Amino acid sequence: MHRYEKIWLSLSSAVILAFMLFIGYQAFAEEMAPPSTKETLDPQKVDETPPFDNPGVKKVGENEYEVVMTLQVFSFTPDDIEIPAGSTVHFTLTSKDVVHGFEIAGTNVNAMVMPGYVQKITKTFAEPGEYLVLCNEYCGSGHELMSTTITVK
Amino acid sequence: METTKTTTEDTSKEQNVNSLKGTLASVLLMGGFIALLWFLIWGIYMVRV
Amino acid sequence: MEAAVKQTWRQKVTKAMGINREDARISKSYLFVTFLALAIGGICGLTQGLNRSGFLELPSWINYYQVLTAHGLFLVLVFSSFFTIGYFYAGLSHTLGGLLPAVRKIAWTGFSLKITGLMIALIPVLMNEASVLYTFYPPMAASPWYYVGLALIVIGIWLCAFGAFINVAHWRKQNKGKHVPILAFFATGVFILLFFGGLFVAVEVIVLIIPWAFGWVETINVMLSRTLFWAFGHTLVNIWYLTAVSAWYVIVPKVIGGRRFSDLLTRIVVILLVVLNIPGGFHHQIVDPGISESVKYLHVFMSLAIGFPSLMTAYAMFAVFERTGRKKGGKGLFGWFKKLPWGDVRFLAPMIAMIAFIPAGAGGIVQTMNQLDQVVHNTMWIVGHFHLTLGMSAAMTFFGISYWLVPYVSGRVLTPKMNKFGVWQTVLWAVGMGTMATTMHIVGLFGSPRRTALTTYSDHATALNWDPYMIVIGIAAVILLIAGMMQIYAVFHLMFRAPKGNEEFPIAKPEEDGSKTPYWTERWSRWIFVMLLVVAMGYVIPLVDFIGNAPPGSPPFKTW
Repeated sequence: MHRYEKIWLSLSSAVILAFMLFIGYQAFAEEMAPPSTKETLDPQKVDETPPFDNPGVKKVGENEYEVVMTLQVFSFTPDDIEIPAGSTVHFTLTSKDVVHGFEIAGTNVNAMVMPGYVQKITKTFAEPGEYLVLCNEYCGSGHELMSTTITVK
Repeated sequence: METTKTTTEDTSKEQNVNSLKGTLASVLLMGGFIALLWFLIWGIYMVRV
Repeated sequence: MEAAVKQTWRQKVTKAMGINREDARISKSYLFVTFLALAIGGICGLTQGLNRSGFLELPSWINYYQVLTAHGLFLVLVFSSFFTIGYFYAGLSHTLGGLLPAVRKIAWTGFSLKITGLMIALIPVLMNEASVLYTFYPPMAASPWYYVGLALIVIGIWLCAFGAFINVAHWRKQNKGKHVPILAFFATGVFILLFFGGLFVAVEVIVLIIPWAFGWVETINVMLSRTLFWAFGHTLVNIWYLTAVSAWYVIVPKVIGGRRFSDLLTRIVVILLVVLNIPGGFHHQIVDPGISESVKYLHVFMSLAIGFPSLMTAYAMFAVFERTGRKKGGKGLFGWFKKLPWGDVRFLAPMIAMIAFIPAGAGGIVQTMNQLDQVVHNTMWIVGHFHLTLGMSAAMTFFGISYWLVPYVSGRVLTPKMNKFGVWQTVLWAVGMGTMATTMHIVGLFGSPRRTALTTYSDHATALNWDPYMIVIGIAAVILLIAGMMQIYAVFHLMFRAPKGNEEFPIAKPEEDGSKTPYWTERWSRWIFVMLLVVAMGYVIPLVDFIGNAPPGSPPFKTW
């Protein structure tokens, strides 16, 4: 192997490894890991299973809310949510039918929502505005209509 | 004198033919691009946190 | 002994006279279907581009997702796998001194199984009974016949893999202690991946989905199916990549008048790509529930590991170009770059393909980095990513190959006029795909979702900002369709109309001062064992978890 090739391979591998270790640090030490909830439920009994038997926005603390939400073709329950600016929102999500995606456009909120699984993701809404929430996994003929908004005041 | 000159020229030409400096420069440029893109996406991620 | 003599004699005959006609017919048929699939898939792609940019409202009897399903089916499954098989079978025939009669039979059986499977899968697609896209995530359920068709396609591909193994094993028996010719070595790697990658989707489709779609069992394990799909899906994309890489290492150096890069390092790249590949599929599930954070992080490492052989390849390609360019008188740091034969389509197309792999690979490295995936997951960025990797890196290499392979198997030649046509076609495709992929990447960063028909989400301001980008994508789709049709014209011209003659099968010689490659590179049983270990490292924990801790399953849904 040529000396230059050794330089290139060790340098590039070291940089990529450094990126990876840094990402790992952020994921585990600063709790920034991607949404990975491991709770399950019966996908055919979502309406009877807490907390999804009572979906909605719940205040859980000072500037802190929990949104319990079900996704189904082609809507979000609850929809058109309003929350005050600066609050932290914990989304607890599941699907009542097929695979859906939960994306708040222009943010890091991006998670798969699978039937039978609970998915959790948190976001602090510092800036006021009307955020677009959309399903980003193909879920059927009305997939392009599956959206709602979060209004931050 | 004459022969020595030719030999030196030959060696320098030979070195030029076998040089892989351009390759090293190219892959390093490429590596720089990868790092740049990483920082761009990481930057977007951090802005959106 | 006698057989060995016969073998070498046959190899010489093949070299001098061109390909055996019966072998040629196999590759020709595979290539014919390849480019027919490109035509159909391309028209589907144009339809989508025009719809999403708002230029075209689809008639009521066509569903956007139906078109998208066909686009994926024809380009992801048919175009790629038929090309891979057609190209490598020609390569096996050329470098191993012809295909065995039994292998030819297997290739034909595989061909008819795949065509039958395609027809069976296509009928429900046309009837809008299978608008589930080519990823068909349960619990969305298509007509069971869609899955039966897909299973037949996989079995057909397997047969071709076995055929390749038989031919290579036969050659090794006749040539004890010798290294398998490099192109056949690549073919071995590709077919090993096709076989093992195919196992995952076969289990998904045959064991899990078909009984459920027919209603024999009531529910399905959605996470298990999805994970099995991606173990196959990502392997499949790397198979096309490895196919393209084989041309970069073996064909391109000959076309530019140079020699191959180190034989040993080339073989190591093939082995690494085979060994490391399958667990890479997991990075499609970074934002899935049901998988622990630590397992996901382990998979970041496994995905990035696949990047390593590509870093080796990047160096190798630049080195081959620099050596060749300098021999032709290129001076200075980058002077060799200008000495490359830019006017030769057999070089230009794969060269642009390689250049496209730089942003494509860089994007891949970034998006596989755990939480950074949240910025781009399921947005148009991802669509841009695989239009760079597949639409440029793989497809343009395949196009470049077709300009000599099609005349080679058809007993015709690539004329200078056709070469010029090919150069224009290549430039047009590069402009179209480059523009489209770049725009997709950008609009994806703004949040525009993939796999979504024309929508403004009730005129939401965020979504309206995406529209200008969508218009660019629509225009690029038109350019691409023109370039695609030119490519198809070129292939059919070279197949049936071009002047008769013997086109060269360009295979470069090893480097002059190359050291002898050690024989351990040939120990495929060892590499397969290591591959299975890596697969076990990646998949045993999550799969056991998905089965052992599974929630009650899901019944089938038809949501379109």
